[in-house]
Amino acid sequence: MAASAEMEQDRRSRRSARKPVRYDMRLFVAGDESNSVIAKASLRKICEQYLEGDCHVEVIDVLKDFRPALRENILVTPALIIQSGKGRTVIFGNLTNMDKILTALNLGSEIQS
Amino acid sequence: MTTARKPSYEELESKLCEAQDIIGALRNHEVDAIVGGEHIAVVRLQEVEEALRQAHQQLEQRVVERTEELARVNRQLREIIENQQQAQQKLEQYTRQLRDQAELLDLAHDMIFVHDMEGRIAFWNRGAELAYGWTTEEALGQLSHGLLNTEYSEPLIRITARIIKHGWWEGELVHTTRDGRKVAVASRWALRKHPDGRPAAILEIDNDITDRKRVEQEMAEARQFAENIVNTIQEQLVVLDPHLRVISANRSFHETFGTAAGQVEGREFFSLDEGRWNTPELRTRLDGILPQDTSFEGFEMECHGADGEPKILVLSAQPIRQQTRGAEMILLVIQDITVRKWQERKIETDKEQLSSLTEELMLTEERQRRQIAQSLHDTVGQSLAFAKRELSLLRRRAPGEMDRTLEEVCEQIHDAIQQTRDLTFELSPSILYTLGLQAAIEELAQQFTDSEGFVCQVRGLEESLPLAEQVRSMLYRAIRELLVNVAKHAGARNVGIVLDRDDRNIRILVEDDGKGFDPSVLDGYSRGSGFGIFSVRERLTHIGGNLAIESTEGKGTRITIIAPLDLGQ
Repeated sequence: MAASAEMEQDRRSRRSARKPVRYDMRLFVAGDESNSVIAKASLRKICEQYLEGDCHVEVIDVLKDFRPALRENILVTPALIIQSGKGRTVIFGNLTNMDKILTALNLGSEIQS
Repeated sequence: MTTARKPSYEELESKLCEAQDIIGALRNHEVDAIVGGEHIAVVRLQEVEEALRQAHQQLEQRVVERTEELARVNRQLREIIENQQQAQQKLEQYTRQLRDQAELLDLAHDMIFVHDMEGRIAFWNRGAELAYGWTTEEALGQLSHGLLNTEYSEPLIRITARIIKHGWWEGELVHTTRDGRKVAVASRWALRKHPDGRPAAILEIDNDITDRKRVEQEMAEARQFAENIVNTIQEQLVVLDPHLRVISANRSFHETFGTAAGQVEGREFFSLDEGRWNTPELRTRLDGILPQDTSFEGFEMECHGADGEPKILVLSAQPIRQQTRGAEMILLVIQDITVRKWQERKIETDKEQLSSLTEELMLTEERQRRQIAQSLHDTVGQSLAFAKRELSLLRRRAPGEMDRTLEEVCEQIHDAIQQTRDLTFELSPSILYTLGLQAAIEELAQQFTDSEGFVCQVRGLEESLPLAEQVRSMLYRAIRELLVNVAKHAGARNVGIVLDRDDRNIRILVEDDGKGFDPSVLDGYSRGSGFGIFSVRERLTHIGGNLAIESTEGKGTRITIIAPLDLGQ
């Protein structure tokens, strides 16, 4: 229990130490399963194409450690938690529905314009 | 202690969106794994899908099996339904049949009703309504023996025991109708059982035999009447079956042969009475009665009765056939003629004695006639002849005034002499004894020709006849009687008398050409009417002769007399 508290403290200290970004995203995947691979590729593409690096992405493999998923109440993978100034948004699936992601990132109107 | 925070609306909405997102991802196959609770490992979706696929296959297999099972159940259900439909049809058919049968039962004249084991009526047909007077509505539920006031031929408990044991009973009962009449019925009962074998009800079929019972009673009385008559008959009557076994015998039979009713029935006839009936001739005759449809009568046989005395019996037998029953029997009539035979023999003896006495009487009579005639001739005749001769001498010497008177006296004496001769001839014609019958008849014929106005001719034999004295006299008087009858009644002009003979008899034919007569009128006369023709016949019969008359009105009369030449024969 004490170890766990330390790990959480460490994670928070490292997060606070890094450069502030607009989007803090955590992608929960299941190894190299097909949808997980697609989701990682899609997220990478979104970060590069629409966020231009103004994001921080953490990929968590639930096959290796499922406890972060339980803590975040993630029931299925792939799942993407987007933490921004507007709050927390969770997107389930392989992130191929670009409109839905952009909407979650509040970028839909920006892209269209 | 912390209390659970109530989630805000935004949180709830966010979770709902997440749930919808999860569902969308699952639906789009965008999910790789499912994360369970702390103690549950992450499940790869492939495994889940594989499990799902297997489950799906199992489900499909299950569905196929279930479908087949359902199909089978469906077929079974269909069969059950079809069976039910067939059963329903059969039930309807059975119901119709039952209705038809019930209607048929109503058509029957017999009284038919059903009662349970306690006697309560459950069915009551039209025949029962008509015969007993209660309607079906009134009868149902009633105790049958109480309603009908039944009189049983045996205790009801015994009848019930019998029907339970054997399933049926039949006998005669007497029911009382609603209006109080007694009805005798031939009743047949049949038991109906429950499927488990317990007695359920009794079907009773009654047939009114009141009339039949009355006829039977009348027949019994008639039979008793006939038996009483048969028992009064003196002849012994025995009825035999085709095997010559005794069926019945009357009282006279038992009295004669010392048996009693019940002792001889069923026994062979020839074994009775120590087998004394068993003669080959009687057996042959009786054996032929039925096969040859013959009869016999007057078969005489001798035996000893129960008292050991010899008996003479006459047996007669004839077949008895009852068309309605097809029965064949033999009626054997045994008549004890011992007394009759004895009487016949006595009569025969008496007759012979009478005949002998008659002959003796005739002979005596004839001798007396001759004696009287002889005396008349010798005394009165001679005296008259002497008186006439003396008177003739006296007349010649007498004075002339007396001649007339003397002549009258002479004529009277002459008449007296003639009457004496006639009387003598009538009493006993001497010619009959001197010259014989034929000469006497010829003289008689001449006398009738001279005095009666018809011509009487005699044709006879050349020889003299060896006739007994009394026969000769009787034949002479018979011929004289016949000639008197011709003179009195026939009005004949010619009479012929022919004498003829054979070795044993003399035959005399007296034939006239008179007016004739109906011989039957003689039936009204009797022997008391005088000497006459009956007396002639009677006397002839006594000596073994005969007299026959042939006559037709308007065609004359022909009378034939036959008499034996020798009375010893």
